[in-house]
Amino acid sequence: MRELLVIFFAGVLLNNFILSRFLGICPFIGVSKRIETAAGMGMAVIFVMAVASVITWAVQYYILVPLDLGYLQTIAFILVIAALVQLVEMVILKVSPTLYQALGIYLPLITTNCAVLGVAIINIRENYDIIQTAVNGIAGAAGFTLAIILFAGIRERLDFAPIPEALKGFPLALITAGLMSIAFLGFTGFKLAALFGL
Amino acid sequence: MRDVIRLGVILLLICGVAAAVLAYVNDITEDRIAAQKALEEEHALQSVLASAKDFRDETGKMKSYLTGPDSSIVRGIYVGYSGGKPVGVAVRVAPAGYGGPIESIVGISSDGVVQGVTVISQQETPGLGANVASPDFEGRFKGKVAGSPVKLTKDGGDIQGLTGATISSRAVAKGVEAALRTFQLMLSKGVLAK
Amino acid sequence: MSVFSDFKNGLGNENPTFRLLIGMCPVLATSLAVTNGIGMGIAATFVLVGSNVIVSLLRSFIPPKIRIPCFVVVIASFVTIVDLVMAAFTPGLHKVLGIFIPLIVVNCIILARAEAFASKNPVVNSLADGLGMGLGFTLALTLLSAIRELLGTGTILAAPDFGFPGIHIFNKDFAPVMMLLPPGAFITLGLLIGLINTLTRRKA
Repeated sequence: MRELLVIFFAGVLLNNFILSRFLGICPFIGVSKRIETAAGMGMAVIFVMAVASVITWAVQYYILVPLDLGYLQTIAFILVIAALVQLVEMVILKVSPTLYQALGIYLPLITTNCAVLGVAIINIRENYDIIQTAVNGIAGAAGFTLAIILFAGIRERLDFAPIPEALKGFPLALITAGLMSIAFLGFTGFKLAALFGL
Repeated sequence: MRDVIRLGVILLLICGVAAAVLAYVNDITEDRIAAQKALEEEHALQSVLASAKDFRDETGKMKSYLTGPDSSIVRGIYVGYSGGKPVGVAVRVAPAGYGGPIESIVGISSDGVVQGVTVISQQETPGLGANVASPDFEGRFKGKVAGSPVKLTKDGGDIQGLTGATISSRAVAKGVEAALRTFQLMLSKGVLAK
Repeated sequence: MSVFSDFKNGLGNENPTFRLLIGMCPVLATSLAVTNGIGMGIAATFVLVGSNVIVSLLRSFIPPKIRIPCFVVVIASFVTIVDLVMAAFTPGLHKVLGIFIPLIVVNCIILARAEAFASKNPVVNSLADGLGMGLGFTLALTLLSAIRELLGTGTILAAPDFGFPGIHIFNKDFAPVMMLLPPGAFITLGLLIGLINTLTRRKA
């Protein structure tokens, strides 16, 4: 249990997907102009990443490994993720049209969010079991959500700031992300293991 | 409906061709990748246990005896031989560092003394934690003996951790400790005769 | 448009990193050293050229409805080929680039070129476009890596894989480690794009 807590907090704060692993930069910058949309994207990512983590784990250990097809990992994972996103979209549309209205537009964007494929591959490389995989998936996505919401909050205010013409938009977004990343480096000093008595 | 079948067939066809091409590429690179890995491993094993001439993989025999966190940290167990006699063991460990597992190999002579540690792969912070892979840091574990704890000065031990990289340093220490525990386990299970 | 202008497009006007602003993850993550940057650039260029050519060849065969999954399969195949070949022949570099090799699959540059260019243009033009985009990407990555490597380590062009220690410029103790950490990547790239914006605006 403690080990899972360490995985969770390390995923959210220490190894934040965006600010320290550089995964999922495109949606991070693309969908962070408003806090509301950022939160919507975050929720959709948490859902997809958690499910995708578990399914790709199962694909790896129940299909690819027994059949000795490890080299098809990339192609299998990306197809599973793409199909999953489609499926999630259809299910949400049937089950809850309100939820679909909130998350619908973000779902297609998630297929090309490298954080999803990234977490799937990391889970395998770290030799996680299925529970650790699920926790890592949720933690990674929660870290993404935390970063994107904070970032959107900052950007909303930047709208009113006088900014050099050349830096407007994307360059300033990158610099802001850099400053956030410095702040997140502060978590390095966190004695996670000690905190949870490991 | 016929349209769906047609689309499905086309997609299947493309997937099939892709899989066939990949199977072919895998076939021609497989041996080379395995050879590279074996070479790298042999090299790393030699570097931590210089007295051994050849190694035998005992991972399979030992794996089931490992308990607790060691079962996930310890990834490989090799007995080093020289002239037919066992001279020590090399244990491959992968303790969790700051950016991911720090894969390293610990060489232990048959009297239970650490002969060398080498980090073979890590994703720690460049300039800080990544320095665990430096010979200077790896050398700090030489001479540690089985049965006594391996800890950083910060945690009450006698190993100087790297500045600004406590998590990475501590992880390596944890790996060495796990390796020494594995060594003792091997003695008690008779996999390694003293 | 001529084949040459298709090629030139990716290097300058529509440079994927500096102008189109896509495919940022590998740029930020692998720009620690020039050799890494070039290695990543070559890998991505190979995938881009390969997928552009195949997609262009198959453009009349692939039904529009399922074109995206088809493109993804083609791209993923080339990525796997690169992954296997690099593991076999340049194991050191393969280890350093790590997870970012399989992640070339989701690099938006590649899918974007397949969709926007290769699926509508003849093979030769698509090849030129892939090559141009790939080299433009490599160029941007090399530039950013050079700045980060020099400022972060005081040395440049270090290539431990080939036994080359690099060219020593200044003492490592004066090098800000921050350049090698994630913030260094974000801030340097931000300023670099800002600088390029200023330069191009002045020209116009």
